[in-house]
Amino acid sequence: MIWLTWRQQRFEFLLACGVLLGASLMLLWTGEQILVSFKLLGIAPCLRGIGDATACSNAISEFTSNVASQQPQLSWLVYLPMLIGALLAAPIALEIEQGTYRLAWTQSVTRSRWALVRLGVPILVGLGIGSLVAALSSWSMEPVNRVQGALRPGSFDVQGVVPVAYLLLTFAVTVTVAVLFRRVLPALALGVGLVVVLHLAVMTWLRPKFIGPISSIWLNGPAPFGPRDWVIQGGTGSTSYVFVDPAGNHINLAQAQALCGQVTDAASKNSWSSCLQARHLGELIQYQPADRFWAFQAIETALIAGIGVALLAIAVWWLRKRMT
Amino acid sequence: MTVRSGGGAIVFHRDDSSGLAPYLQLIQQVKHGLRLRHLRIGDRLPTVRDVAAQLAINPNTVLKAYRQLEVERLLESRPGLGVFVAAALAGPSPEDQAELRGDLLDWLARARAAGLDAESIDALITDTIGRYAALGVA
Amino acid sequence: MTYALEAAQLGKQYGSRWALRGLTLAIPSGRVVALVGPNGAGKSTFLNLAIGLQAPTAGTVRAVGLSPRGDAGRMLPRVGYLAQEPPLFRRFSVGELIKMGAHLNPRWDNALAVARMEQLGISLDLPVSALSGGMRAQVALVLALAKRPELLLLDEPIASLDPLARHEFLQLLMDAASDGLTVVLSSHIIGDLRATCDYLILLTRGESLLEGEMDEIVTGHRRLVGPADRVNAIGGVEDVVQVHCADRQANAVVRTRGPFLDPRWEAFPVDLEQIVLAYMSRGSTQVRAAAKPIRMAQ
Repeated sequence: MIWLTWRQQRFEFLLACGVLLGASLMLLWTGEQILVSFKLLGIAPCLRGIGDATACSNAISEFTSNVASQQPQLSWLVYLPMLIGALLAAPIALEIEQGTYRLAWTQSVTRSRWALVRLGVPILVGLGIGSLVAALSSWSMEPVNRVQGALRPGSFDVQGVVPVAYLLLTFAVTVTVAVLFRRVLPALALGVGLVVVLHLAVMTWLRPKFIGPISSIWLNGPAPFGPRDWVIQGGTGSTSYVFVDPAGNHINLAQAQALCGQVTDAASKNSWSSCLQARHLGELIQYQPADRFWAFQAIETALIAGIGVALLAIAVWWLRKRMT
Repeated sequence: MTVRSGGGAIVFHRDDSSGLAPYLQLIQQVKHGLRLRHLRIGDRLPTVRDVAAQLAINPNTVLKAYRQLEVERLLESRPGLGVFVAAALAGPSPEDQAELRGDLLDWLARARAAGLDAESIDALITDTIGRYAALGVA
Repeated sequence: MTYALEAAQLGKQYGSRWALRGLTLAIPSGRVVALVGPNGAGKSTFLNLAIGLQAPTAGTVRAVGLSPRGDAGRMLPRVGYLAQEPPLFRRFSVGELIKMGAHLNPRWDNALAVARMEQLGISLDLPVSALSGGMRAQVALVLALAKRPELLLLDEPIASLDPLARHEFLQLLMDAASDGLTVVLSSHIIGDLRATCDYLILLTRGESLLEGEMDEIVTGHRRLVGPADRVNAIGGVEDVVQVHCADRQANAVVRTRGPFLDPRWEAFPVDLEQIVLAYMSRGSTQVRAAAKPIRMAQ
């Protein structure tokens, strides 16, 4: 049965390994670039607080923009595990559509054993490939993590265990759709499509709430969060600002600008800041501290992998009970 | 193109349009071979498997035919060796044949005189033979 | 006497429709059984239930004495199954299919598989996609036979083949039957079945109308032609299966009880196809509750 699974999926396994090889080379190259930049700019001592503050700040900015230029390569990395998951599930979906799964059943293989091996082997291969890709990503992102933290969307999604969970989920959705509807193309399309959408939804709406964020009202002085923390409300580059008055009322940006004017240059920025301070208006900051990285990884993995396992259980049950 | 049959002294054939059961057809073909002296005492018949596979007929059919012929002592089975012809089939003697033929010609003349055409004669003969056989005598 | 396949009040329901209902039979080992009936009669359903691809809604079925779904692990190595257009992996070569068989089946006769392929003239290197329909059916049959089953279920495996391919398929099957294999062959090409099968089951609309030894069924029925006014009083028959009447002449298919001697009727032999057609047309007009399967004497 194991020989049979290998022989049937030979092409897809080799293709997946090819993809793994390509991704690995890309990650090794990218990681190398990042590491070189990190070393040349002397970031490490800066992070420990050694050296001139302005020079360090410039070095870090330059490093960050170097990394940002690598971003296009990294964005496909988020979706790579999903594609691999679908690729590994494709032969099973094809077998269900063509009805050739019956051949193994007529060759003395019980349905349970068939499902166990036929699904189990690609899952193990997928877990292996997914883990390797995630490990390489983590390695290549390590310097970046030290500067920016790993909780940010983009970084979080390609490191740790989460990519493997999404690979598993895509595999599970593809197989389940194939078992229910017996068509390969819809199974593949829905498999990748649904998971991409789900991933986006989790990343945008659920993940910030996995653990209650730390809230703080920033009146003056240094920011209450560090460069490695994941700020989800407020901070520079935010899309929505919320201010809090001494009574605790929330005031949005438009209202605050009505009170203190708009920031257009350095001078208006100073008057803005003094105005806010005079009125005791603080900016509402909510953030997730960097050390919650593994906790969040665990929660998202449990959620995604849990859905995947549940779907596979449904698929196997349907296969055993209802299919001819 | 002539194909020599692998084993056995007789080549069976299958007639799907005959009303006769397949095992009876095989028996008939063996007896026919015996009468015409194509099959002689000591000849080995093809195995049940060979006949079944060559004609695409049920092996139990062949078995039934061979067993029936064994009961009639025309064939004998030698374990491990096969099925062999055990006896010859005597046809009617030339005198009996001539007498029967004469009777038949007389009857045919009477049937014609009574107004039966060839097809009616044929139908009557076939039906009567059938009844005769059904009575377990033929 | 061991029974290769048994059913007791077996039934399968889809929604409100019964595809199979009240089927009770016992097929002795070593038989080649013809399973006939029109499309939708329940032949495929019965075979699916027997191999465990589906579960019964009512009643029980046992193959080689085992439950197909409960005892699948022990049953599957002993029972073979061939579907119409048998599924074969298109990307595999014939040799790889044989290798698959060797890996999956506990009792695998590799020598037999290789020898048969050679006998059929099918090279082991050929990919399945290069085989004709006839050759695919042959390959599927060899794969099924090489696992040395005791019972082989065939669901119209040769319906779409040309006469020569069908003949060759049946030759292979009869050779295997010589070893004592029990075969259930479902087909609607009745001409193939008379000579190859020694037992008959006729299904119509999920119910069995006729079962028995093939020879007894064929020799136990007659076509009678005679006067129409006597059609209700045909003496000496077990059952009148079907009657067609004209003004003065009636034509009936009857099941006889012993030799038929009524001189008012001319009796003709009737072939299997005509017998089956007669029962099928009766089955379609008879009230279901009253129809009970007719069993020929054991």
